[in-house]
Amino acid sequence: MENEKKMITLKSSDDVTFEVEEAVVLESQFLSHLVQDCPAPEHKIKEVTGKILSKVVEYCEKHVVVVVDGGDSSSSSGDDLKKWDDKFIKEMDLSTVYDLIAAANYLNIQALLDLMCQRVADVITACKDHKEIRETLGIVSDYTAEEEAEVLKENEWAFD
Amino acid sequence: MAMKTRTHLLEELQTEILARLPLRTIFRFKSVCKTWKSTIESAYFRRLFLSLHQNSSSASSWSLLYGSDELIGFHGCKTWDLPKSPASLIPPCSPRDLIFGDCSYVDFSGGLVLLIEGSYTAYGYVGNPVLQQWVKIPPTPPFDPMNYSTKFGNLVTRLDEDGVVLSFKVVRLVLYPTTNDYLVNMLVYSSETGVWTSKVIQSPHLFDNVNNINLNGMFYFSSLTVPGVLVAHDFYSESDQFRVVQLPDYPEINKHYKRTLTISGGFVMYVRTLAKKEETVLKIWRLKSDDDTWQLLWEVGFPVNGNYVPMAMNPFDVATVYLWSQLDHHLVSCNLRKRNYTILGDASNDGYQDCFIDHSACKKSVDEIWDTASSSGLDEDLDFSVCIWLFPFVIPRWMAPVPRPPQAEIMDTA
Repeated sequence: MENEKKMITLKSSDDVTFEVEEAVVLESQFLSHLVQDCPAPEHKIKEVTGKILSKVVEYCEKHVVVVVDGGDSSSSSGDDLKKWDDKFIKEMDLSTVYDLIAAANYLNIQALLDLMCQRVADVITACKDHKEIRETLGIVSDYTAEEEAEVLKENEWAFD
Repeated sequence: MAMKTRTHLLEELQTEILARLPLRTIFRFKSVCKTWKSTIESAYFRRLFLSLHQNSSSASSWSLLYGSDELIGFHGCKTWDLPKSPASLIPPCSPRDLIFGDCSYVDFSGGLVLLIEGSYTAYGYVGNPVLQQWVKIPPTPPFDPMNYSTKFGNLVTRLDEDGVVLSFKVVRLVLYPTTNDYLVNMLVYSSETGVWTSKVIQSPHLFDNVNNINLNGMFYFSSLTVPGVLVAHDFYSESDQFRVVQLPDYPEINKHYKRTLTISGGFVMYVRTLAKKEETVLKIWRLKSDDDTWQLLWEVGFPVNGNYVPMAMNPFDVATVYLWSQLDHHLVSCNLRKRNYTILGDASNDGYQDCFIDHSACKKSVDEIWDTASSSGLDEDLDFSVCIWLFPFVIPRWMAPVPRPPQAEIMDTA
């Protein structure tokens, strides 16, 4: 391809800057609209910290490259991408996952949002009961003992 | 647009996250807190769950039954994550079973099961085998003893667009001939009223009410007197007639055709195979319920030969059909869109480890169904046989409680 790659600078809430290709920015619905509406070379994203933005950029860059390289995304590059995604989320702690969910939601990057939600879903699935979930996710139960017993009984079939 | 606080956002996104879990996990975790419970029970959540789980063709739990024999069972799907195959969740209805007494007959519809006894004086049960929740159905009111001959009951359900059962009806039919047609005396118990009512309707043909395909309130029976037609009735309509549905390829006679009626994607499907030297030709029609016409969906040749007969289609994916080889005694899953196939139950095949296949029961049933049909030596017209005996028992993609008739007794056997 002969067209010159247009570069865009993203600046996080704590003033960390990232220089990325326009194609990378287009992975985010929010940023594509921003870039279209306001053709400045630099965009400040006040709601996302540098730590989280670096993860977002890393994710988008990886996904852009694969789509462009693979043409109509051959299965091997699809598998590679999946492996990369798995590694990407594996190394992340739950707090970062939450921040990324918030960022992906704000920047409107559906695939990243899906990936991160799936990660939390996997954490929940791994919990053996409701008490472990409360502990892992820091949820305080608002059931009385009687109410809890009733809900548990109603859904007994799911525990077999 | 300001970013929401983390707690607030998580509350919103928790719906997104929970919707990615299998149903069994979701229901297990209603007990985490009240917010989770109300999230899970909301209509929005149900829609989201269904839309996230609709894509995968393996995302369903179902069993293929021949009488009470389970031939094939799929249970490891991401939608449900059931520990056992659907059919094995149905309580055994042997006379010794204490909970359900003497129930000896089973029918299925919309994921619900009907257990009913031969005698008209006993209670029946309609329930959800996953939830293990059962509604006790009172005995039928006394009526003309001439008509006590049938011991069978049928179950129909009405579902909403998400596959949630809104109501059910238990139907007991008795046919008797008149000069021009057949009169069908039917007793119907509706979950909406909780009472039995009786009605007489007409059918142009004699049919056998044990074997049927039923879908969203409709029953399709095979005519015993005229080849190539079905008789159908909508038990939620006011009609007093059985309709006649002509099969799409009648009277194309070829003794090598193997035909099966089944259900897929919310439609009645008609699947036909023809074994050729180098390939198996599949032709599949879909019945449009509004005008009873057939639409040809697929005509595909697969490079397999082994005397394949059509067993079923994936209940949610109209591009997946299951064939049994009468030569090699194995089951293949054909993807009509991709034009490829896999032998199921193969140890090397990781994707189908949660598929149960009873090879000897498959072989026995297939031989029973198709060998008797093709070697009957009857005249060609009567040789036009359609298999209507393999019934898919499908767990819906969402779990709702069993509709509760007024004054009915609910039993929880969990």
